[in-house]
Amino acid sequence: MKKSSSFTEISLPSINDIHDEALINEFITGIGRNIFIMTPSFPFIFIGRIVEVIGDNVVVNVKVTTIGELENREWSIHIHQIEAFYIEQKGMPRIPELNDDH
Amino acid sequence: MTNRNNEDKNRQSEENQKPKNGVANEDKHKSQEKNLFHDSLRINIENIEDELYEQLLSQIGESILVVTESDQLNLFGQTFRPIFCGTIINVSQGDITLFPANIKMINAPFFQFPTPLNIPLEKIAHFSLNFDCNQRIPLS
Repeated sequence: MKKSSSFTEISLPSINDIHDEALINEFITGIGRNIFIMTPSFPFIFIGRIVEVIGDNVVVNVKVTTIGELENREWSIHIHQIEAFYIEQKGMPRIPELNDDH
Repeated sequence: MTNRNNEDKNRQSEENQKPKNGVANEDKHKSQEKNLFHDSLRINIENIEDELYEQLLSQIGESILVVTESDQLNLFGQTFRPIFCGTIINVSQGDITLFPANIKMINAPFFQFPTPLNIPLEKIAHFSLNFDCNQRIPLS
């Protein structure tokens, strides 16, 4: 087993850590704004207003999700579990108001 | 804080109980002390090179095909593989923003999401630059 001679050092923080921290920062700057969140975990969709960021969790006052029983409450959502999201920005489209029909 | 104080006290009493039990032991304590940081370290990352970020930054305005980590996502009852195609309008060190963002659903391969979509860099499994989002790709 020969060790690669060129690989004897690593840099800290790792690029992965920087990306993770920068992502948290995106949510912190979005506090008070409306957010749309897609996650692979049930209930898959959250729409609401960002209340605060606690550690690497974002607290959202959820108005809409896939199931009515889970709506109108605060959800603490692990930021690094989120697969896609959109925080409303000035001059950009608003998140559609999805009303519960049933 | 209290933990640390207790540790300090413990260490002191330990040292008092065993006066000069050998220089080696004392040295060990000292070297442990030297390697301890008592608070989280703040590191200025301003000058740390982030090649992926730089690469994506240079692609703003270009189209990209992105596949993310999970097996599937669900949009109000519609499950789909997480395959996104769109134009990069913004890049941060945490995510990229696509707009317009097309989700490649099996039933609606050209479904355009009504808002921009941000995708965390760490959730991207793979991407391909300059992908024509109007191209048909078999999804099943």
